[in-house]
Amino acid sequence: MSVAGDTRGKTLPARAYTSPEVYEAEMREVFLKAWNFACHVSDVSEPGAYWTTSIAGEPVAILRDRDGQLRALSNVCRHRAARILSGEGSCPKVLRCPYHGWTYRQDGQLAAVPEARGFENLDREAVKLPQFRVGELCGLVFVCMSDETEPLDGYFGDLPDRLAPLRLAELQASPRLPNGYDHNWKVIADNYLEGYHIPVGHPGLLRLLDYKRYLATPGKNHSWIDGPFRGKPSRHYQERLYQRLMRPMAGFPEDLRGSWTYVHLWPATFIDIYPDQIDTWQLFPAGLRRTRTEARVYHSGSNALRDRLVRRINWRFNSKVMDEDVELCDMVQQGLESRTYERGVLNRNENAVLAFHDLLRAAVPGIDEP
Amino acid sequence: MSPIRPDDRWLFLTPEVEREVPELLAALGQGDLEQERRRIEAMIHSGTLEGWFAYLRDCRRRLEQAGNGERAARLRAVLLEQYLLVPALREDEDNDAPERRRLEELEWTSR
Repeated sequence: MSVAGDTRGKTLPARAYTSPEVYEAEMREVFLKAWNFACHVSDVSEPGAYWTTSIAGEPVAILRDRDGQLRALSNVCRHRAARILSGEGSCPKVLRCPYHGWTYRQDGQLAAVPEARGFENLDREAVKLPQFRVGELCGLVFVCMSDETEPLDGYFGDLPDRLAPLRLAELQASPRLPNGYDHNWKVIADNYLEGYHIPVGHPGLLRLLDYKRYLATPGKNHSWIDGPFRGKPSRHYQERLYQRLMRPMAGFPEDLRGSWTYVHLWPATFIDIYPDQIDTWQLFPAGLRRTRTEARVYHSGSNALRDRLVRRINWRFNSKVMDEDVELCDMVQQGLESRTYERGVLNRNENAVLAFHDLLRAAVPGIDEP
Repeated sequence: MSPIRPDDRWLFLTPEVEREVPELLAALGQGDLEQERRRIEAMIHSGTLEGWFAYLRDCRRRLEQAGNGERAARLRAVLLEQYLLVPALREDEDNDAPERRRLEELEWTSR
């Protein structure tokens, strides 16, 4: 029975994308409480190796200490708040702040301070970089800043069983590929999560993928989206070349060889599973209407000309799809500011958007109020 | 790699037809399921808007031969939707209005 205020099958209200209060609540209730993807396990495999990231704007450093333990530390110096580590690299023994040289042990404890006797009110023993929960799942490292969130092991439901055959840990990871867009982070996520716009927005993708079998299956804190290939060769040269030359990476699961598969990890990480390479794509909300992104590409390490060519074609094809998506998201971002638009309805092909919005409804009190 | 070119834009018409029409025609005894699927997929790969609407006219002719019923009504609805969508791409009155009206007024000639 339909009741007043019934939001079944409906999107979040426009206000959820334009309200500073909602944005702040999302940072607090979503990002600071979720298990957020941080990096590939190879980024922090050696003792001393570190990788920096941010969660809801909080600078975080993930590092492998000398004892082999994975740690996630606040990347903010306790002296004058400078960022301690940048990018990625190695700090074999200690972490040194580049501003005044405050030096921390790998467990975050302050180890040394230049001109220490010059401080009137410094309790060295009490100074420690805050630590966060960190864990590894299927070759990917995750960080959670809340102690109340359930353990990583069960956080994504059965997803680890589906990711494990990809043997992500064994793949070679590319450097970060940063970008940025003038969209609320949810506009980008919504767009990724549904295939309903493919026939209109991405004709090239429609020729490559069998849209009638395109299927999103929401799971616990994730969605799994199957995009099976069409059997027939495309009439477009580069699409046809991809179809002809593409060979799956060694050991790539049989059941995924005939598809492009897309995975959403709550809250804001996406995994593109192509037989020839795998990408991760992270959204970093950088303001109400600004989102920073980082992509990584993972592949078997094969440098055969054919494999490099296929990866190149794949990248070009999906860059084109991305350009088309940016245009679409531009239009949506503008439209969400309209005084006449309150909220929309969702097609069954947008079921992963609905699942995403339902997660937001559960996490952010008041997000559904128009 | 393949920008949205004018000759690609008609592809947005295809999903519902591809998903439903082969099974409906087969169930109505007016086509072979696999053959219809192949025909549609070939058009998605290398067809044109004109070729697409030639196929839809062919579907309408076969629909007219089918018995009235739930499936025939569904097929009619799917075909009719195409004529409501296509004005985004070309002039309705010049190209498609006669066929649209024919579907709107469709009466089955056999049962």
